[in-house]
Amino acid sequence: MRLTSREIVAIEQAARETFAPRSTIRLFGSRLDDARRGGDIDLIVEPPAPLTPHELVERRTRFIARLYRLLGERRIDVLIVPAGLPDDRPVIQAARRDGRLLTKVPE
Amino acid sequence: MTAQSPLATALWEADRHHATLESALQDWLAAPAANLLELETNPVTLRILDQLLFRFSKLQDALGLRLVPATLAALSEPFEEWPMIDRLNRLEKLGFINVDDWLRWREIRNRLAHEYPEPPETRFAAIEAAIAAARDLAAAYRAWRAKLKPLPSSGQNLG
Repeated sequence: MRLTSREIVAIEQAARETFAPRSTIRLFGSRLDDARRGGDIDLIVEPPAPLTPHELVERRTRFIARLYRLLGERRIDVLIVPAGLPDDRPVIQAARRDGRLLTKVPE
Repeated sequence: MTAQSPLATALWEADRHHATLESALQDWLAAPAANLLELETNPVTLRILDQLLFRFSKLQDALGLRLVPATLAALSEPFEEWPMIDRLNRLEKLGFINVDDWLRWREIRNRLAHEYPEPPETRFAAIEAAIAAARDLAAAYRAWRAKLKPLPSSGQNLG
């Protein structure tokens, strides 16, 4: 996994400030591959309860804006899918299958 | 070529994007699409939205690349070595911008350039968020500009 400890701490902090308790945040995509360099930070967030489309967009923007403040502006992509809700988009299935847990928002 | 201050040049550029953005916002508000299907089946509305989002991005780039440094220079701030976030924080202290708003607009702008496949309701919610951000950015630029008025280097003679 190619994330610095500073990046992981920032992700934990931004997640706590943005998502409901028990939401999980996983890393997927090219940053899982130690042999590659650079690339977007791809995250999948699974909140315990569904969000309205408006809430989803608002939380995603707030989360990434917090990361811009903590880390500087960079390429970050965030998928938000309620935990346990089936989703047949290939990118979601791959993220759920391969994603590596970074943090879970505490109660 | 007439020598203009960086501030006057930055304002001239931003003004052009701002004017077109305001007119696109008015056109959208006069006949907004209610959902993605309505938007995608109406070429006129789609063109208005494209223009609106294009000018939102261009105005934001003009402010970030030119007006941020030009404003700090006009105020004799020693900003040259500062990273962007420090420049933004300083401008927030001076009352020109809100950094949280600015970073959210950056995210929205960056998202316009790159999208995962998403359900139609989420895509439309993202479009509505971008339109609201464009409206807020236009208002923030007007306030920023009004605050610059008293500065001599903001010379408004560029047309």
